[in-house]
Amino acid sequence: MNNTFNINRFGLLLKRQWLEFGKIYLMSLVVLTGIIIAFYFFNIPDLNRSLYRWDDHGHVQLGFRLPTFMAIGFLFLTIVASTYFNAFGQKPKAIMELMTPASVTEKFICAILFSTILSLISYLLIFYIVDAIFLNYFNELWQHNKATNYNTGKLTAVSFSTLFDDLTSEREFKFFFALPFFFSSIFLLGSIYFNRFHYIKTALSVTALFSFIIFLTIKFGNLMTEGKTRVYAVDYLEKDFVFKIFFWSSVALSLIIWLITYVRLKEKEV
Amino acid sequence: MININNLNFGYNKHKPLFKNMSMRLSNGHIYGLLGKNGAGKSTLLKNLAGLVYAQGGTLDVMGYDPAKRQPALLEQICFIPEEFYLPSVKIGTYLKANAPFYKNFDYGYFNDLIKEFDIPVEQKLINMSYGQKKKVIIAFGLATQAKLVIMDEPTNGLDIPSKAQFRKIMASAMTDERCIIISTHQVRDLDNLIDTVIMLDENDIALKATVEEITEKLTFKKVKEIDDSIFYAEPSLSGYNAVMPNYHQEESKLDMELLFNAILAEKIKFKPLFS
Amino acid sequence: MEFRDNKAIYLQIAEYVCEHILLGKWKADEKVPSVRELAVEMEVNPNTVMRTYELLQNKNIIKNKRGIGFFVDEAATEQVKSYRKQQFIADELPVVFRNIYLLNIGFDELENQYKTFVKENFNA
Repeated sequence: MNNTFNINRFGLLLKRQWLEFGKIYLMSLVVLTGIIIAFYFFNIPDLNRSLYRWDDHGHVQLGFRLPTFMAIGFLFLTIVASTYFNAFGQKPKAIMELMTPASVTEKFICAILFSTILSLISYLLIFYIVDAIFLNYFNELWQHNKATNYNTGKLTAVSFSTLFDDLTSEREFKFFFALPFFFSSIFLLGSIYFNRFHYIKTALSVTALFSFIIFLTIKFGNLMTEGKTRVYAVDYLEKDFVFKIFFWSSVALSLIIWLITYVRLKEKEV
Repeated sequence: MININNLNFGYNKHKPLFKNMSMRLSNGHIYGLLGKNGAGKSTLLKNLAGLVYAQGGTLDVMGYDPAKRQPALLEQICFIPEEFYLPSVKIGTYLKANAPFYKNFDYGYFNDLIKEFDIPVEQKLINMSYGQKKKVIIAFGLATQAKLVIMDEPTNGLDIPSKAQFRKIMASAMTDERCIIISTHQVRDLDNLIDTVIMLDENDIALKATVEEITEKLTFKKVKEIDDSIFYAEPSLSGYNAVMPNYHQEESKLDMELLFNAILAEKIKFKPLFS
Repeated sequence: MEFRDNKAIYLQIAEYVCEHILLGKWKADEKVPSVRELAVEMEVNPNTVMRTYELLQNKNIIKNKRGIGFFVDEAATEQVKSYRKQQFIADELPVVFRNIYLLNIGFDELENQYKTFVKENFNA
């Protein structure tokens, strides 16, 4: 039998992990849904207040949606990732995990699937559904404040494009699409690297590391530009280039961090 | 079955646990691993199971290097740690999740063992007592039909009837294809099950010999007075329990506890007998 | 089974088997428990029982029918008795003799004691 990857064994492993963590995972999805719904409820705009903002097309602006999406998404993804290898921090559990007859590769892919792919998909799905329901609800609520939607040609109160359409309409957003994988991979590594308090420790390490990098960048930038004058402004193409570097480096970093996680898993001793 | 060659291991660079340890274990035996606290009993077992990695030398378990953690080897190892974890599910769910990994898993045998151990099947594993959980994992481990059975202090936490059940189960679990290694410091629980004694002391194997070999070379008996022929003696109610060379081909019963203390105290005297 | 401390386990198991044969619980030409069965009953290593059976085979008390198992020999009772006699003469008699000598007991007195003992215990 293949000792690196066997689809049957991998299936068994998925089933085993699901039977072990599935219930808790589903419960966390319920909590997640509750939190998103709560955010929408607290942010339902009151149209009778003059303070309320309208966008250029005469639609109600729901500015809270994007920050909510990002913040909750960040927390959810990182929490799920940072709990996945929890078991390896406790010797008795770690022994059971390591002695399970599946290869390191299978255990690793299983970890990526559950901690990153599944959580990302379920988050997007849940957010999409809740968002769509609320947008429908708002449109019903404000029957009399409708304006024509540019995209659909329909009369609506709020711009009835989902957040995902919003996210993809601005082309720059696309360059951030690897970020969820990046953050998730960091916290997945943290969950196997640290034995306890994975989340706090990972968060602290990452903050420290990023602060250091930012500090260095600023210092370096100052050093390079000190006493020099700008000759010409950054043009559109150059801006695009920076975004591209940002995108591909986040992809590369995620892959590198996954590789480190794989090695840590392979080298884990109890 | 197992070939250990010049194994070096230590959790701390300055305090090695094993120095150039070599040993060969074969199937058809129940090995009793003895040693003081901290002598490295559990660590040796973990080395065999691939839970920690040798820092020098080689380990060969059924033709595999345990450090590679290949599924083909893992499914042939039943490892019962001293401290273990069972998820918060019922036995049925646990079986469904874990048993299919072992191609030869014997469901009927598992049920027999559970019945014999008197385990409430409908109860969640997490609500069971330590002893009950231990019995579940022993039953599971044996039902995997793994060829290498490693148990770290298996009788810890078992009540008196369970210990007798455990001995019966182990007696029937021992087959010619199996190699069973049991570490224990409660020697009296298991001394009639063990057929080969392995004693760890001072970074190496202080003794590895079959019970037959030991009682051929040594005799264990009660004496009234101590004389020079006696290797080691402990006072008892009616004189002394003594270990001495077996000059008259006496067929005495191996007193494992006495042997253990004797070797710790008088290692040099025993060396020439077992080499 | 409770084992005594003074004798090798495999010999104690041999005594157990002999006892069963003498008491007629295991009869001639009947199958005796397999190595594994007896090991489980005694809570001992099967290798120990194997050693017992090898010993009893050498003493012609049981015999191995290949592929079927161990059987009580037709002449087992006699063999057990002769084996026991050997053991008695080797192990226990020297102790009795030593006491007879030390306590200065005459053979006539010994004979009388013996006859009374047999009469009281076995009605012979």
